[in-house]
Amino acid sequence: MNGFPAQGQADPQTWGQVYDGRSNPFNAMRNQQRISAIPGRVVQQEDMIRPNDVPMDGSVALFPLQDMSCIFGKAWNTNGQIITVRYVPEQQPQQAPQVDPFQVIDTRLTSIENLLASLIPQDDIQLESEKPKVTKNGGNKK
Amino acid sequence: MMPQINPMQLIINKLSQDPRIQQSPQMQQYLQVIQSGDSQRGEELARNICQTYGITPEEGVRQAKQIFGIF
Repeated sequence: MNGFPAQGQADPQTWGQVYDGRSNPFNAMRNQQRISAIPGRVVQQEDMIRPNDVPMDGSVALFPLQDMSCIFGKAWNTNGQIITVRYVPEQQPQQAPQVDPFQVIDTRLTSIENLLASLIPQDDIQLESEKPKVTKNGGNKK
Repeated sequence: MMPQINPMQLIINKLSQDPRIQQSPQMQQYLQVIQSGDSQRGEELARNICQTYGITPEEGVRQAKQIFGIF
C-alpha cells in the first residue's frame, strides 16, 4: 500500500497505451477515445509542482525530476490535501572485480614465505639432506 | 406563488451534474460532506483545500462566490 487512494477512472494498466487500430477502422474510431496519458510533467524541483497539476479525478500524477533522480507521485486525498510518494531508482549493486583464486593463493603463499624468511635466520634453515641422521644405537653418523 | 428556492440545493444539484465530479471519488467525497450538513467537517475540508492551493480561506470564499455568481 503506497498511501494513495484507490484508482478511479485511471487504471494504471491502461496508462500511456496507444492502440493500433489499423486492422479495423471501427476499432480505430473506438480506440481513439481510449487513448490515455499519465498526468504529470517533468519538473526541476518539487516546489515547481502546483496543486492545479494534480487532477482531482482520483488518478496519481507523476512528476519526474529533470535529472531523473526521483519521481514524485501526487494525488488528492479525501481530506482536501495532496499526498506525495517519492520514487527513487534502485541502485544496482557494484560488481566485484573478477579475481583468479589461484592467483590469490599464490600471493598469500608468497607473503607467508617472505614472513618466514624474515623471522628465521638463513643459517638455521637446513635442507632435509643436510640434517644429521640418527642411527639405532643413538650415535650420530656423519 | 413562487416555489422557495434553496440556493444550497441549487449548488449541490449543479455540482452533482458535473461529469468531472461524477467521475472523481475525491469530489464525490467532498460533495457528500456538503450534503451531510456537517459544517465542522466541511470547514476542515475547505481549510485544507485552501491551504493546499496556498490561498487564505477568505480568498477561497471570494473565488467560490465568483464561480457560483454570488455577490
